Amino acid sequence: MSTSDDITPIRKQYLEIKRQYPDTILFFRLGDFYETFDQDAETTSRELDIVLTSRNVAKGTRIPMAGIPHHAVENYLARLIERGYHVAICEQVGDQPTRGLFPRKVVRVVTPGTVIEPGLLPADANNYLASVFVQEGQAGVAYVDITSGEFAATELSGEDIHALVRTELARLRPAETLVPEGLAPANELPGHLTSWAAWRFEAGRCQETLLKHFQAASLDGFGLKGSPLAVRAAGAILQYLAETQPSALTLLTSLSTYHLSEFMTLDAATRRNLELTETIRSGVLHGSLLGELDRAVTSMGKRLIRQWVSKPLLDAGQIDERQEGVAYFVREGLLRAELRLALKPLGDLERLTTRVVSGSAQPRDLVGLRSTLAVY
Amino acid sequence: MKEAIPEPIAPFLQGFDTCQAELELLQAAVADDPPATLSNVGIIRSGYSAELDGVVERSRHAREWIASLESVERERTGIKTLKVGFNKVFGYYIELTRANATQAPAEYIRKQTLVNAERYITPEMKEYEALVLNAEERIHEIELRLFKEVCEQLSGGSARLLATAHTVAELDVLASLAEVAALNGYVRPEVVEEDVLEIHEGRHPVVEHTLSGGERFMPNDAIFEGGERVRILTGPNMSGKSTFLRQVALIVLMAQMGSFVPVVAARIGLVDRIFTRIGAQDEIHSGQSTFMVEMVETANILHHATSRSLLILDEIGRGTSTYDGVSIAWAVVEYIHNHPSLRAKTLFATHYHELVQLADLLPGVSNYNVAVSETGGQVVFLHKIIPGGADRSYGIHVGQLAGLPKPVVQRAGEILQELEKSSGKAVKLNPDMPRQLALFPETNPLLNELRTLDVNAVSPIEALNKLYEWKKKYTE
Repeated sequence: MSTSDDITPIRKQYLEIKRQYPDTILFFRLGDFYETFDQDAETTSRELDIVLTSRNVAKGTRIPMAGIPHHAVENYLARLIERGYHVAICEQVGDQPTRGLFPRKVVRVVTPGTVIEPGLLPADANNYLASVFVQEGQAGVAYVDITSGEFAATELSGEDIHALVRTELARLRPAETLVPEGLAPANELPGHLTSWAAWRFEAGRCQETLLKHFQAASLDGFGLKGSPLAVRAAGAILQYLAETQPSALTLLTSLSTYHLSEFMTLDAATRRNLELTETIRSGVLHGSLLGELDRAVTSMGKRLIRQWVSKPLLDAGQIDERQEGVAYFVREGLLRAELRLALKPLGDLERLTTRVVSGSAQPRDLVGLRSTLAVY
Repeated sequence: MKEAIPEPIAPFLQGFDTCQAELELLQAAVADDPPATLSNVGIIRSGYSAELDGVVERSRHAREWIASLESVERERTGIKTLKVGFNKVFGYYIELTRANATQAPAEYIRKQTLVNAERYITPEMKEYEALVLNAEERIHEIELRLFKEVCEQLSGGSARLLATAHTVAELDVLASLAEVAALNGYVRPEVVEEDVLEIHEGRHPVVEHTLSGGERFMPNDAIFEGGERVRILTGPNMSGKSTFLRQVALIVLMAQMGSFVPVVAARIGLVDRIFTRIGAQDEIHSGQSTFMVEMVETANILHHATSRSLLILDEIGRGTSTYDGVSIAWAVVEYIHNHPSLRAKTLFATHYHELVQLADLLPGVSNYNVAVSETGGQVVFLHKIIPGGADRSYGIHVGQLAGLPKPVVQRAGEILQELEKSSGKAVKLNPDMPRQLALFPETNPLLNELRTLDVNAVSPIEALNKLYEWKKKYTE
């Protein structure tokens, strides 16, 4: 190992940044490439099947390196995220190198629950980031879809709290779930879990984060009064986004609280047995209830009908309201056909909007937005 | 979407906004066919920004000025061989042959001397040159800035855009459900607060489309009436029991999501939870034994179901020996039926026909089975669910249908006869068992009566009569 005096300035810069992202693959921008080094390079090369090379970082010291051309990054990211890795994107910032070195900064951390690239998202399902905090037979659960701005929290309590949490996660099917480090039943929770420092879930800190984010003086207006665990789950989500995808925060303009008593409870086994959204045998949509009912013509509609199938209502009035709507379109067959024809060419207004808000929009997104709005 | 809003869909249109301001901004600001990414120019429409248009215009003008420079200068100086050229080191220059160099105007600044020529620049030319060379970069800068501004302006209206997106989604979903309802002949179920479940001629929404060649899906009722809580469904595998069980659950679920349902008519009391315990074939890989998984799920159901829940139990106790299985299944039915805070509506499919005896012992239990037509030793399952318990299991016939070799089917028939002769048709259970209510002390009717009896309000003679009545009722 060489002493820090020998190593190149860029290596020094890399190590400084990498130290802050130990469990994350660091994509380090060098010109037209994102480079990975050391362990990251070995992982990247293995998972993405790209060539492992090496680079001189000090006299006589070469380290493993693997690079990805920046224009193809989305595709490679998708594969790493799919396999459960988190990727920090480190960009050159500023126009001028200082002392021969561009300043660099991690602009976002891509995780399964915080992706916004259209290529990385399922079009017909929400991409939820959830957060769970369990304490003494009670639990706070919060979730957010940063591509739609949906942000909600609830509190669960009951004899078998872990079963309740599992049931709620089975309903949401989050792409990623934040849990405090050392949460006892973590290994029993479904899906991709991200262990996060327990202090992130501290009550005072979370409350403060929420108040600051919503610029509110009290959380009572959000229905969070007397739900300290929901506050902790929701607060942790905001802190996580601030570190991974800060531009998404502007989209989260409100937080709704809900109670499980508003929806029919369906545990994971029942969802599977009834083949609500996928078949037991091959795990595909076709042959499931959703596969039968989903004739929606827009991505937004497809995501919503999936939610409706996943959470049947318990309020006769609300059910009647939906039935009225369905009955209307059953009666008005011609209008229904016209409506579906009119909706079909619509772009994904929801996700287009969120890309605009989060600052990741490209010119073609604005064109999509324009042609979508022009239909109305 | 422009006319008066029809009342039935009015609640769904509250968030709708045509977002005219956003549309106008996009139409004004973004070029018709911009490049796909931000790394190229041509994003912003001309006419949107005076600043951008100015740069574009000046760049165009500068290009033209330089293009015409040669002819202009030739005319001005009268030097016919004057040339305008470009190289990477000096940029644009004016070149005169050595012979003509003496005629160079005063404002020409000499930059380079070649063997046969002199090269000059002029301050004005350098200004235009700068305009041309920097224009691309400037335009890109300005476009990026404008693009960001447009996005920020749009972000201001994001709540409206998202509300509109949600409205579109809801209309799309309603129309989708209507489309499915119209195509498949679904009807609107009556969803009510009362504790009822009446499905007339229900069908399985998915299976009804998967039947092969001309086969018609057999609709079935599921009508719970007269205090019925547990419906025991006997009949062999492959007879359609599982499909029926699932279809009842799916119809209830569809009704509560607001959809129409595949029935002739239905009246559905709100169900708070649906529980299912269905054959565990998919757990084989997970390491836990099938039976353990089955019991864990059953325990979960018994702990959490309420009187407003719907329980779908398919072959409880199958993963263990017959006697264990029958006993557990029997006890589970009793518990559901008797436990005061449970009493959930339950569909219980089993091939243990010992369980049909429960209907005689518990008032809320009824028997149903799958109709079978049997002619000349050939068994055909009609997939029709009818009242009454199945008297035999037809398992051997299923084997026959599945193509077991004929000698195996014949031999199995013989063995069955022997077994039935030796041990009776089914395991006989003591009919008094359900009355041994000590198993469930909290549901003992005597205790209940004691709890409700107000001792202060009865006369001694009434009390004596009560005691006499109880003695008669509970010690018989």
